Amino acid sequence: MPTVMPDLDEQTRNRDTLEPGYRVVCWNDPVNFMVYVTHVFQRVFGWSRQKAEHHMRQVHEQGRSVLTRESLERAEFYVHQLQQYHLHATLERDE
Amino acid sequence: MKLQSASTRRLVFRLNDAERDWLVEVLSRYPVVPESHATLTRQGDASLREHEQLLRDSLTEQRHTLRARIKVWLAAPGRWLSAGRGHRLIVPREDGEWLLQVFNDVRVGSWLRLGAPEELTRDPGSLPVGQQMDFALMELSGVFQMVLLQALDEESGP
Repeated sequence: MPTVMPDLDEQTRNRDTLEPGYRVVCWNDPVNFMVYVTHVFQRVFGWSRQKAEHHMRQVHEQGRSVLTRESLERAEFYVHQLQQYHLHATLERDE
Repeated sequence: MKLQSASTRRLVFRLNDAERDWLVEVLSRYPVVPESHATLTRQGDASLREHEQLLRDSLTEQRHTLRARIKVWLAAPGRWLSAGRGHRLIVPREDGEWLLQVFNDVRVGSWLRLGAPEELTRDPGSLPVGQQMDFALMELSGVFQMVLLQALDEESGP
């Protein structure tokens, strides 16, 4: 048994490695403007315009883009944020 | 609706009478997207049903908040200033993001009411009369959204 409690960071790391991962996916639709999608990615994820445009193009050209891989809690947070802007975003298990 | 000036704190737009009427109409339509539209997963993962309900509750709360905010916002003193034959609309930059969400709700919601077509028609006259207003709202909210988005990206003036 450990003689000292692990620090919070270590607990968090351990939890993250045990939790199943989730992908946050954004899907293409014909109604959202490309420049709007880019703007939302920048706002929600704090990405550069270049990175946001890269994912926007993936959505547009390939029908979907995996935006990030996270714990369930974080993935839910991002889906909530994206849906507040009415982007078609969902999460899926990262298997 | 055209951007007249942009500072670090606010954006000033110039609108004619028709644009002002349409802007108020678009904002007063909010919300248009049905509450049932929000889904957490594509396939409907039963193990996440509770999480999906939390998502819907959160979005419902947002709708109530924004709906109340729109009424107060439109009626706020100093929001509209007369400018010759038209109007000036004062938009604090901090209001830009929620206004974008509102415009896009009306745009996406109107598109859903049109049956979520894969191709957007270029001939609205061919639509049934009952759908022509939905088409107009989709287009107009898109115009307001794009003007606001470009303005938010505008460098601040002196």
